[in-house]
Amino acid sequence: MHKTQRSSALEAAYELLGTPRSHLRVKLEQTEDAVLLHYRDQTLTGVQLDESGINAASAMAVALGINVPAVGETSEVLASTGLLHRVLAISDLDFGNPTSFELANVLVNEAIEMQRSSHGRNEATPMDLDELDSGQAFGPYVIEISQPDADTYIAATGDSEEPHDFAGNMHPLQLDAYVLSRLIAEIGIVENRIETVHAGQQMTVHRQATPGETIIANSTLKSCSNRRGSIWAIFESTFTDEAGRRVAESRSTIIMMP
Amino acid sequence: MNSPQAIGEELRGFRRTVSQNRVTAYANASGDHNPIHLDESFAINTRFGQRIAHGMLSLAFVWEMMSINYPNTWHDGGTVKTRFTSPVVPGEDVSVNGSVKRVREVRGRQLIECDVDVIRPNGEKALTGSAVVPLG
Repeated sequence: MHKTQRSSALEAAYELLGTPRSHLRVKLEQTEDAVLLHYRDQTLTGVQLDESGINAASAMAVALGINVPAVGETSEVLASTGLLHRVLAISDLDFGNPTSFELANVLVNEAIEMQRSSHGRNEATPMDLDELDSGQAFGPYVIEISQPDADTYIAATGDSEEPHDFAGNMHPLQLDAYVLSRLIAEIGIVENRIETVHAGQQMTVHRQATPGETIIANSTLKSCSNRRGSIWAIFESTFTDEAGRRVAESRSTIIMMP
Repeated sequence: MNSPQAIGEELRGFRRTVSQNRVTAYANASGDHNPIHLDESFAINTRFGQRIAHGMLSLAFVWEMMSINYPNTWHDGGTVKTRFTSPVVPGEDVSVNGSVKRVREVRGRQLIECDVDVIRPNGEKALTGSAVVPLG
């Protein structure tokens, strides 16, 4: 990417970053002759792989907390708009000028600080709804439900006089309830007080999990579409035990009205 | 009890009260603290105009009904597929029902397919769908 192309990309990129966001999923790509930073279909910036550009690409990658991908490959990362401002500024430095190294150093250090603070509050910081993309992976979530927590779930759903006997096992839906609670937290439904409707639910159980057992859940946003201002999201989750055997799978349809 | 296997046969269902206390207990047990279930001032500005129960709570009732009716095999390949068609409002008594819709054989295993639903006091279905349970 030449300087004039970069100027035009940067102009649009800074407009995009005008709205502060905690998580933008960006991709760093290395082509035969350039390293490019993309957000969805938009190229935010890029550097030509000459001597100055190689220095810039390395600094951009460090600022993002990833490695420069191999030629023809991409690396994906979640970054805040503040961090991306630093990356864009690095890409526009002329490393033929020695003072650029000092500037880059400052910007990289600031970006690293932002990565640290972002990781520190990773679970509590919701992503933005417009960051939801089909195919996006969530988890893995390691689930270990204690006996008292399993009993609490059965009591909350069951007959108060005579709770159903699950033969010492967990209520299987508790696994999916756990994952749903993690998903709604990550998406920011609670923190951002987004109106939602749980429209549908499927679940298949191959065996019951026991309290204290470790179950690993992996979720994927199978589809995500905008219908008349509402976001329809379908999540598919699998639940496996530590030996890798499938315990259950589920599919949840959630409608969000931002 | 015998597990229902004849087409049209009713499953043993039950009624259950969905109080706000139950909804709050469910939120605590599941970790789902969506304000639409718990926060009246938030819920009043939603399309429902009031707090509503978790859909998963209705599904848990259906799950329990299937476990009661098919205690030996429900947790060995049982599948439920439901839609939440109307919200249960705290304070409502709901009825949890099911009936055998068809019996089929897949790869040598007999499967019972049931219609399942959860009905609100006004007759509206809060949940509707199907459950497939293997027999043996």
